[in-house]
Amino acid sequence: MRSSEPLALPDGPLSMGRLLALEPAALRQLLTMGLRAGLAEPELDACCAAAAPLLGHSPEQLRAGLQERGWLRWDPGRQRWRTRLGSERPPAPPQA
Amino acid sequence: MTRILSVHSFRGGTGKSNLSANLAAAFAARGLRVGVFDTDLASPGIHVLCGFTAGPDSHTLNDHLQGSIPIEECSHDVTPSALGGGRGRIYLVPAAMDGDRIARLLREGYEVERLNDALFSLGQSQRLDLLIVDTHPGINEETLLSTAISDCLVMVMRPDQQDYLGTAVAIEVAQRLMVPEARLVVNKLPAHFDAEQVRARVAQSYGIPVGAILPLSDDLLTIASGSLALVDVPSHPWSAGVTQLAADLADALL
Repeated sequence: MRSSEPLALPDGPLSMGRLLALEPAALRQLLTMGLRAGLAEPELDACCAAAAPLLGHSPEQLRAGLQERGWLRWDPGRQRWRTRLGSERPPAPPQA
Repeated sequence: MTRILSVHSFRGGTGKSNLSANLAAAFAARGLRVGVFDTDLASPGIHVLCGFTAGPDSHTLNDHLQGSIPIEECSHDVTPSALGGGRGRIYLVPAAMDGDRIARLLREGYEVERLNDALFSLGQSQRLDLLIVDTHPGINEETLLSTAISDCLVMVMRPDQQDYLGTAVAIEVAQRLMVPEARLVVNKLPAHFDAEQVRARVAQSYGIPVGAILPLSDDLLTIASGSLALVDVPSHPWSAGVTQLAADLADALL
């Protein structure tokens, strides 16, 4: 499923209060797993595949939306995707 | 991997810190390496039960959350000498106890993200089997975080109507955050209550396993209000209940 509509998620930093209010449950599960040990690449793929259709988007769109909001980041030390609380949007890449 | 156990209550005065400290002692007596985080930053108290007195150079959780002190330097070995012979250890990360530091934390706040990183970092660096998070009562960003990252949530309540209602709210939150395991502990049960009736009532009301029904005990207030009941009076019914709860939790988590 793929929608051209923007992802129906709030903008701005992620807080625990915001995470608690998110739907569907599969999205809360993804972000909660990211808070705990973090997600390996196949785990993130599986979680996005479970949650994205319920939001009317593709897994790739969901993943990109979470990264754009700064809610999900790659932790090079742990080699896992981690949920990030209180983050601002990541800086835009330098313009060529 | 370190298992995280959050000890939480909806209201204050349930004996949450007492339970956290004594659970830590029970796990250490089983040969486990346990960390204890005092995240009740507004009203810290578990350090008293653990026999920890901060020296001028002692670091606390506040120094990590609002400063640059590594979390490892904020953890202190408080293993009671009675438990010191085996592998079991207790590492306490106390909260700051002086009024200025508490006021500063309340005024300025901190990035809750740092607390999350600190928990996982200490678990790894100290090779902890278990990490107990003694939370602030009620629901706020910190308690939601410690609930969300828990492998098990221990909800502590007294057998009164306000606790019954508030505990239901906290359990609903834990279910939305998909906490894998939960236990309910009824603490301070007056002697005239029927423990089995209370157990049946709370089990039916909340739909999560009852971990323990612990008695209200005037003598414990005298014997062990500033120390660990499990060490001072291990055969007391309250201590025996906590020991049994620790065995149940160890079986479920490790």
